[in-house]
Amino acid sequence: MSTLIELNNVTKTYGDLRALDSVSLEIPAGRIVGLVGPNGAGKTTLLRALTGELDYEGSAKVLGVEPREKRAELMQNTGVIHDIAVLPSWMKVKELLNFMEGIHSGFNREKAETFLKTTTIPMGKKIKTLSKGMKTQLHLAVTLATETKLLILDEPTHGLDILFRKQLYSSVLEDYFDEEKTLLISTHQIEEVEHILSDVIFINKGKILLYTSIEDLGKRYSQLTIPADQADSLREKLQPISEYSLLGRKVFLLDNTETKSLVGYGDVQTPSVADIFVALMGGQA
Amino acid sequence: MKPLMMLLKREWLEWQRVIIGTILVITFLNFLMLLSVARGSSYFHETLQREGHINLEDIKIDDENIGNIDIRMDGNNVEIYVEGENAAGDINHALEKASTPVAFGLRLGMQGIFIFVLFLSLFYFSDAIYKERADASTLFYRSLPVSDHHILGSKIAAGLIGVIGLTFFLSIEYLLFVRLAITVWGEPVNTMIAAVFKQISYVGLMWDWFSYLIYAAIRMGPLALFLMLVGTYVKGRPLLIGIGGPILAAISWSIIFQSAALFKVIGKFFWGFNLVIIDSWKNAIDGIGDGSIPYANPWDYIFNLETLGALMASGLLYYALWFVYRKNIPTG
Repeated sequence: MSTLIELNNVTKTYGDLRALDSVSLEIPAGRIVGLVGPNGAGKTTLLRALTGELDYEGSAKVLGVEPREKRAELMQNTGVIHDIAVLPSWMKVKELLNFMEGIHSGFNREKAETFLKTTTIPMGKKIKTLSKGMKTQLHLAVTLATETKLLILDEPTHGLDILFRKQLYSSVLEDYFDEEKTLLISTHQIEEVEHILSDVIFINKGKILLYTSIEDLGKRYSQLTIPADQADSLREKLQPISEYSLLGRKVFLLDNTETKSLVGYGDVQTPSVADIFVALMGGQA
Repeated sequence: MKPLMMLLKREWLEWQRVIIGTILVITFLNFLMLLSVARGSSYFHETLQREGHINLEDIKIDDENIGNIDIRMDGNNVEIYVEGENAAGDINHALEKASTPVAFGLRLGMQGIFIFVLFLSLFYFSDAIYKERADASTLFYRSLPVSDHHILGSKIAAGLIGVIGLTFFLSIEYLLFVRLAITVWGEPVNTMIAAVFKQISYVGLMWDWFSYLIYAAIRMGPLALFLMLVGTYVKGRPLLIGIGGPILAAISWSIIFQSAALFKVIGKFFWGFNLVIIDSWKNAIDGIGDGSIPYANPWDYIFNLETLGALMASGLLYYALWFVYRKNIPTG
């Protein structure tokens, strides 16, 4: 499988603050990768480095090019949706489609119009008159209607209601994703996307804490629910990386513990990505 | 090339209301001029009908001779008599001489339009980058397969083409309205002024004017780029900071160091395009009567060291603009 994104010791500093601290990773094609971290973890900085919007130290290659030097070339095959409304507010919806048609050879107007017909967005209205949800829908329409190999979503559901959040991810999966393409989704609402991810990256304070496939994550971590009165004795034996109380019982999150060896102590389950994230961030966020 | 054309078209879409609004304002002013002429014409013809003739005394018709022009009504016909020593013989020479101040007048009207458009262009250049930072659309443009040079180049080109194109278009409209005003005035003014206007080369006037606008575009490069640079960095009020900042700095400099050096530098590199306006004005004041031409050779302005200096300053400012623009500094 070809490598789409390759970073080696990428560092970005703002004065004394290290927004990215020696980040190295490789992301192959055909993956849906969740970039998860708390606010200020460095998610947006990492994405902006990947899209050539920032200077950084170290080396990076995205789709075979150095993003900072060849951003225009990179953007021919990359789509980006930001966490805020970025479409030019003075443009009308129809003008935006005309503009995209002229400026991006991979833009499929018919596809965008078909998508927009499923919404209530009027073609003749200026973008500034649309609601936040409509603006995101419009941006999604033009992005998904553009033929690209990499789609970067930076907190795309920020400020949107629950119905539209679900719709956004199903649109991305149905209308965009296939095994030749890669999706990189930045979010701090992991429970929203964990069911669609193939890989997950945990980032905090500019450092990559964990980068693994969801499959391996399930194999590595396990969750044990036990009666509260057994907690003290088992804690010493199992060394959980985190624990919490639930309805009078104790829940342990365990790292690299054979599931078979836990049978008999209590209920063994595969933890959610959110639980693992909270556990790992517990002492660091 | 296509992305650049699309980005230029984007500039047109964004600014078309300002451009069309400017055309409407100037057209309205032209109509006001036409209305004033029509009223003046009515008064003139009423006087002519009442008095039977209008005598314009002591008109200088060449360097030596002073003559009278007597306009008389003969039934419905209007007759013009030129009285004075050798006046009749010098009539062509007199018309030729009269064409010089008329051409000056036309040129000054066009320069007035240029100053108006120039004023609007200051808003354009200071907002060119600032606006896309303010509404975050800079992130959208950076997600497209276009380079920073494409984006910046389209904005600079759109601004300069806009200043030249709009001024030139409005200048032609102005000349047409002047011609219309003469027709509205009616006889005998129409015949008299037409005879004077025949002495003016419109092609020469417009070609020189166009060349001058090219020169002005080159010389206003540093100002345009400086305003764009300010708009790339500041958090608000780019025009106020872009214009007020250097003036405040120059005033401070002159008070602290008792020297107008900074004013001179600012004047040389940021207001060089005014040179032709100032020169033309001097020509208009001093030159009438001593045979000077209303439009100096614009190529002399274009091919000189100061213009080269302006180009070099533009190059440096463009590099600074590109460098700061790359850093993608949001307003919020």
